[in-house]
Amino acid sequence: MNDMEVLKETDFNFLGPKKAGKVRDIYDRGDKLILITTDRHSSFDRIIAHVPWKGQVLNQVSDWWFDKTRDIIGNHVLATPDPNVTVAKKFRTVPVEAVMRGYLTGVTDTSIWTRYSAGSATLADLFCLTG
Amino acid sequence: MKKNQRLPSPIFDPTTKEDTHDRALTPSEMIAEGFITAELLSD
Repeated sequence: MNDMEVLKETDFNFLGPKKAGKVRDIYDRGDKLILITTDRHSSFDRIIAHVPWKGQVLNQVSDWWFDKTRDIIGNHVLATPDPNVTVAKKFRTVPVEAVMRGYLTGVTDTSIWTRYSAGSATLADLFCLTG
Repeated sequence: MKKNQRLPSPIFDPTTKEDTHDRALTPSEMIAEGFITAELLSD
């Protein structure tokens, strides 16, 4: 696959200050954010690959769901002027990911098995058991 | 418990979305560190 067909990162200085997340490049316009979804693939909290067109797919799937759920709860999406781009209203975010666990497994630093096997006290709080 | 064992019941195990890497923390730590208010979490 030709490198040119993969969107690894963007450099649109004229859009304002840039903040690079794991997958998205975010440009701050004051009251709005320009979110550009790249082809970076983050799994297990790491960039593990670049996948052609993945950014377009992700941005458009997100847009589809934000539209379908708009009547349940309002959201930040103002426009999607390009398959990779969302223009969003800037909100104060709650920087928390809601994870539900069904199995005691995993290998990364944040996985439940890693923390449980290391005797993490915070996990004991969650389990309320000593086994 | 053993590795890969099914949990007795599903548990809420949030992480913070931080710029470098995500970090696991309990609901009470989330409130203590100011990531979320108790009122919003209980909703």
